[in-house]
Amino acid sequence: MSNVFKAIADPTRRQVLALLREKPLSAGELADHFDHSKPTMSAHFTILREAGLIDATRHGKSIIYRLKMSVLEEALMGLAGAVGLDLTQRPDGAAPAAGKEEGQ
Amino acid sequence: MRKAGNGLRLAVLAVALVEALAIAMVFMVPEKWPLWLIATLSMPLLWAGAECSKCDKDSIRYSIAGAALLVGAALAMVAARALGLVDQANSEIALRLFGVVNGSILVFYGNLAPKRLGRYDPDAKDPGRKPALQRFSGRVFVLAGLANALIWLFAPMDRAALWSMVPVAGGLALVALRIFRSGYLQRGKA
Repeated sequence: MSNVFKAIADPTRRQVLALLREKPLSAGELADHFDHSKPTMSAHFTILREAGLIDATRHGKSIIYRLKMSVLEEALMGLAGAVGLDLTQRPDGAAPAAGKEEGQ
Repeated sequence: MRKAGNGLRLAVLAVALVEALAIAMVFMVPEKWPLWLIATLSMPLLWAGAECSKCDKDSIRYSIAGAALLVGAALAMVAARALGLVDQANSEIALRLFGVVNGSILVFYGNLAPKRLGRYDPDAKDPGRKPALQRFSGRVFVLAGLANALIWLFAPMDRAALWSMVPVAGGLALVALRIFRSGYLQRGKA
């Protein structure tokens, strides 16, 4: 469960989950919605996959991501979004460096 | 992590318990023999039918074990009453608890419904439709299960059985309506 909290504590990852709510998307399609570098996005996808919130399927050369959230996990994500939870922010308010998120 | 084969052992044990209780009930309350006959035959038939499906066998066996334990608990309660082991007040508490457990099971399965993804089909016309239906039905069943459990906890005993069916039936109707309106059944492939 701590993996789930860690995964939904980041606004980027919550946005990824919100995009996947519409339909399954490839890693490239998802990355197009963000300004982050590909390694950073890849790290986000890994955290979401390890938390069991998304499913990754290889299709040809691309990886297709699908939402795999229980009702409770979705409710937690909604709550985290509603209160603007962001555990990736440093105490001084600076955003984490790209590619260095989540212990990369 | 579930160990492969545990589902089979658990299902065999749970179904054997139902069979033993149902056979014992034939001797304890013989006038209700058709009910005990149904109880004896239903679980093995249900299991045999489920084993013929293409779903994950271990998952099916866990579900069968869960269903058998529920039927077994109901039979055990009837047996305890027939033997005079529980009085009216205790049997009311047991009935309420049984209703709460049923509602909780609905919450449990509803919660996990959106996590049960099938194989990804790249040729599907609308690949987001089936997961959306799963998420909707999951939410509906979680709410229906919660309502069901709360009714069994707090409603007057003489009305709890009827009232508790309202959220479940309403939930089923909502899900059926959503499936019908989405065109999922007509077009076959989501």
